[in-house]
Formats: sequence, C-alpha cells, structure tokens
Amino acid sequence: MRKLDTDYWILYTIPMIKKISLIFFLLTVGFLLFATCSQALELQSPRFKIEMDEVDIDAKKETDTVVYTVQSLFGPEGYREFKKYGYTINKRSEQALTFSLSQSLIVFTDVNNGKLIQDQTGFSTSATDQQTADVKLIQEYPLKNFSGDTLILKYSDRYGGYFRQPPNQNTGAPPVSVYSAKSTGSGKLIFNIDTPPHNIEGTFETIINFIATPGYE
Amino acid sequence: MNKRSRLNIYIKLSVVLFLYTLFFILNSVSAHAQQVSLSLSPSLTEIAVKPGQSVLTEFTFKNTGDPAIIKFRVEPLNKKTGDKIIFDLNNTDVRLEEQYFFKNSDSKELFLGIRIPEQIQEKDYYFNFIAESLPPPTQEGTVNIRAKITLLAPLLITVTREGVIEIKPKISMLEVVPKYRFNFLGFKFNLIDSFQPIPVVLEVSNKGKNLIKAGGELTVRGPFWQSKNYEFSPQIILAESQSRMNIKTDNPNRQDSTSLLLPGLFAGKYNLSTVLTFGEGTPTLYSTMSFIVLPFKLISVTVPVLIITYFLLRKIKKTREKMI
Repeated sequence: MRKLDTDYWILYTIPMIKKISLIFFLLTVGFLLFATCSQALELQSPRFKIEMDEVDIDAKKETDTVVYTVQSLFGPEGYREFKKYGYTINKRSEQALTFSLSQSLIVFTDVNNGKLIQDQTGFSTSATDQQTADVKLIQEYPLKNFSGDTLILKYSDRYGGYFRQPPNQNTGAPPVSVYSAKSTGSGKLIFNIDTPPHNIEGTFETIINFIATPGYE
Repeated sequence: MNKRSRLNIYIKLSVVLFLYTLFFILNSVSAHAQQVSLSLSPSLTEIAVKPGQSVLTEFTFKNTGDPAIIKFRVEPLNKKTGDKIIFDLNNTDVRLEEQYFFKNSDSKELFLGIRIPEQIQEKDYYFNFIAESLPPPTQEGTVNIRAKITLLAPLLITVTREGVIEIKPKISMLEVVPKYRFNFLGFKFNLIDSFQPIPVVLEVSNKGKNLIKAGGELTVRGPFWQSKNYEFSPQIILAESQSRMNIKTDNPNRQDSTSLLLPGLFAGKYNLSTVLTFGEGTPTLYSTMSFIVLPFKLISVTVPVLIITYFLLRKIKKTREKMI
C-alpha cells in the first residue's frame, strides 16, 4: 500500500510541477513584455515631484506661441549688451575650423593605355571638442579638355569600396558629404579614371571643391 | 706613388665628398605635391541686432600649408535670405571678393562690418563667411584634378527691435529603428534583437522665425529598474527647419543617420524618454516611447532544438514501453 501511494504521488506531482513551471514561465514573459515601470518618468523640482507612466504631452502637438527674449539665447549678459549697444555677439569658440588636403593637384600622366588609373589624396579636419566638422565635395565641371572631350572621373573613400561620380555643380546637383567627425579626424579619397582605348590628346582638367563646415552643436 | 701619399689622397677625397653631401642635404629642396591647409575662427557666430544698427565682428584666418591664393566672401545660406544686409571688410588691405596671396604661416585678422537696414523684417537671416583657396594651375599635356578648399563659418543673425524672439519647438520624432514592428490590439510594438546595437532617432523641428537651441537628455529604462541617461549639449536648430539631435557617445559605429546607438540590451520591455530644454525661461518638452527586446536569434535556434529533443525523447520512451 505504501509503495502504491508513493507511485501515485510521483505520478501526480510531476505533471503538477510541469504545469506550475509553465504558468510561472508565462507569467514571467508577460511581466517582461507588458509590465510598465511606475517610475517611467520622473518630473521633479525642489517643490514638487510627479511620477507618471507614459508622458506624451507635447510629442504630437506644437507648443503655444510664446514670446521670449534674446536672453534665452544669449543669457542675461547678452541681453544687457543688446539693450545697451543695440546688438550682441556670441562666438562659438576661438578655436578654429581647420581643413587640410595632402594633394591639391593630382596629375595623371600615363593615360593612353586604356586602363583604369588611380590616385588618392588625404585630408584632415579639426574643430572644437564639442563640434563636428563636415566635409562635402562637388565637381565644378566635368573632366574635359579644350575640345570638349570628357573623361569619367569617379571617387571612393576606401580601397575596394564603391566608386561613384561626384555631383556636378553645372547640373545644379548639391554637394555630397564625404566625411563627418567630431573634433579631429582624417580620411582619404581615391580618384579613378577609366581611360579610353584610343589615344587622347590635350590637357584634361577639372576642379573638385572641398567644402568644410562646422556642425551646429 | 707610395702608400702614404695614396692614403692622403683618399682622405682628402673623402672629406670633399662628405662636405658635398652635407651641402646637398642642407640645401636641397624636396619635391612634394602641393599641400593646402587653412583655418578660420571663430567657426560659428551668432548675432542679435536691432534694425538700423551696424555691427563689427572679427575673424582670424591662417594659412598653415603651402602658399595659396585666397578669396573672402559672404553668401546667404539660402537664396530666400535676400540681400538687404550689407557686408564689408573694414581692413585697409583686404576686401571681399578679391584674391590675396598668403605665404605659409601667414595669418590675418579680418574685421567684418555688417549693416542692418532700418526697414527690414524682424526675423533670422543666415549667411556663411567664406575663405576659399584658388585651385593650383594645370600641368600641360596631362590629366589634372585640381582641388579647391572652401571653409564656411556660419553667421546667424537675428534681427529684433525690442529683443523679442520666437521659440516654437516640437519633437517631431523619437523612434528606435527596430528589426521588426507589428500592431496588436491597437498597440504598436517595436521588436529588437538582444545584444544588437539599437539605433535611436530624435528629431526636433523649429516652427518659429528665430533659431532655437535644443539640449537635454535621453533616458532608457529597463524591466529590472535599471536606467541610463545620455545628456546632450544645446544644438542650434535654424528657423523653420528640422534637425536630428546629435547625441555624442564613444561608439565609433554610430551612423550619421541616427542620433544615438544604444548598446545591446538584455530582454524585456524598455522605455525611452527624452526631456528637451531651450534656454532660460523657455518651455520643456517631453516625449516617451517603448520597445521590446527579445533574443530572437537565440530563440530561433533554441526553440526548434528543444522541440526536436522533446519529440525524440517521447519516441524513445514509447519505444521502450512497447519493448517492455
């Protein structure tokens, strides 16, 4: 009799344990997926503290039109200066935006072999610690000679990378970004030209404009 | 000729050769491609000014590369700005739109005069102060790519008679870029894989006629009460435009199209919230959103393995029972 009770106990307990484990697992998953932390957003000042679940008060609507003064942008000192002199100036930083290019003239001499020819130039930028420096480029006109014959110029920012034609200022295309980095950084550009199989004559030239601007941070 | 006199000749020849080599090393000029290096400061200038007023602001330009020919000019940021505001360089030896030669290490203080007409609409006007190098001359008979450098230093001018400006910001987007997204019972769920970096995009639009400076913090809260704050310093958003906030982290893999790249998270429901401020006495904006992080890759491998193992064990058990 005792042995029978023990067998029955085992046969009954194991499925119960399985069911309890499954329920526990489902409850845990439900908690992880659907539970909301009651301290999702803390809003507090020295005089009050609010704890709210989800706050989307201003996410989808504009604020009312409120009028503020120059003090919000330039501080109290700037506002006083504006009132006294009629203007106030805020300079980002005395640190300069610097741009350097290792080669401002890339010359290809052996162009009558019908092959792909390549060369590169390196560049570097420097800005303040909190600022990004963006570099864009644009081609002022196609690579051409005096007779109007053109060659296709392409560029890439890495060896083995995707080569593309630079935007053409003549067609109204905007400059494209080739580099963006915080504070100080460097990069390189590889230019290639697919020369035609027949001989080409004359001097071919084009101007690539590198435009360096600071970010608005 | 005996050995001693031969030795003397060799010594003299060696001394002469050494002196020639020394002279060559000290006086020869190495040939290198032309390097251009320019700098302009300050890199950004904000001005608030009354109509009818004149302002003088300074720039410092320096050529730290090879000698170059430079031109200075001022251009509006977009064509809508108009040309009512007049710019002029107050230097005696430098004018706008004219070319000047700068040797290596030459620098110049430039005094830019800005005249605001009396009859002008009170709003923002944006310009760039530009230092531009001329490209080098071509080499005949070859294929030449000539590079030109243009440095832009934004000039952001707010014209206001009484010092009054408009601040009308709006959080236009606070999103994570999920691996999967679905709707369930009217709720939108963003599903993201655990241990994968999570791109976050925070965009703020400025509906006012004056620029604003948006700063604040982004907070991520997880299912086990953990949270992490990412603070970001004020960033300028021009009038009637929209900008993606650039929240700086040390993650070198952050793409330019995102504001922040969160590191991979464990699992569960996470809440992302942001608080934005726009300067002294200005309103504060809030926004939140939530997303679910699950180890999809781990689940997609583990679950089939568990199912297959379960059925195999059952089959083995049944086979044993039959044999018994």
